Amino acid sequence: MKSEPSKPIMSSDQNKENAHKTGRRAGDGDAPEWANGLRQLYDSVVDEPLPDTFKDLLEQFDDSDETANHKSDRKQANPSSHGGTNS
Amino acid sequence: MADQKPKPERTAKEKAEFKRELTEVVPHLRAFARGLCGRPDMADDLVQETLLKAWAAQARFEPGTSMRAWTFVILRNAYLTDMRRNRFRGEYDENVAERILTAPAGQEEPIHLSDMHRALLTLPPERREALLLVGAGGFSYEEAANICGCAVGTIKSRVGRARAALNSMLADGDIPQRDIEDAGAHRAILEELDEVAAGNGIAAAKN
Repeated sequence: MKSEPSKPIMSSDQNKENAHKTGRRAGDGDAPEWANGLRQLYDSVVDEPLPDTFKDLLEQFDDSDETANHKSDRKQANPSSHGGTNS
Repeated sequence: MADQKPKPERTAKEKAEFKRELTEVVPHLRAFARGLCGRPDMADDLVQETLLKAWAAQARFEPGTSMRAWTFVILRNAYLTDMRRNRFRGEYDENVAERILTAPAGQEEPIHLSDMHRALLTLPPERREALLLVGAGGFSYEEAANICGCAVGTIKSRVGRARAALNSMLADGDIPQRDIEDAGAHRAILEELDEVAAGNGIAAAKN
């Protein structure tokens, strides 16, 4: 089987799948020289390490979910609020 | 998002999957937000707001569709709202100032990332947004149109105009310095934002 040179290899980016066969890709068809820079600008942020604030926030989602789901259980875990018998 | 029906409560597995996808998309949200509003700290605030809203609205997410596109819509709406409240002024991040972007062949002066960023921030918001989605985010015109809630032709026209503007700014090295802080320009941007938010882009593009 011959590989077809006319078929450009699409990047793994799923968003390219809608690219038309006109030879132009939506992002960088008739790219001027700065177009790559636009991508770099974006990618430079994508590649930044994620600040802890985001990790913390995502962690909280789980916690808040747990709380919502098991609220009733937790209420029972809290013993007598009106004991009042301790000396 | 109008045609997305609320779904019944998700299973734990679905929630875990949702969270995994949401986590994966965070760097992209940060990049999109930074491009939209310029300042990293404000951009990250916007992303946090987006994550909270996305989590709260997860029942409306259709599994199997693009998490990136879905969350970009949320981020975009949050941005437009905040912009109208005057929180963002398209301020420019000084930290990128010295980073050299690329040195195009045959050109003596390299384009700096800062030039690119500043030029980007002088664009009207709806063109900047369109260019970010298509030129940086790698969305197709169709996807970008869905995200912005406008016609494909509108997106194409916005991207075309944005490119033309950047071309002339970057080629001539003639980037308006602080156009964005100019009160008149800012007001014009806000007026345009109202147009964008009202979905009038489609009507406008018919001319």
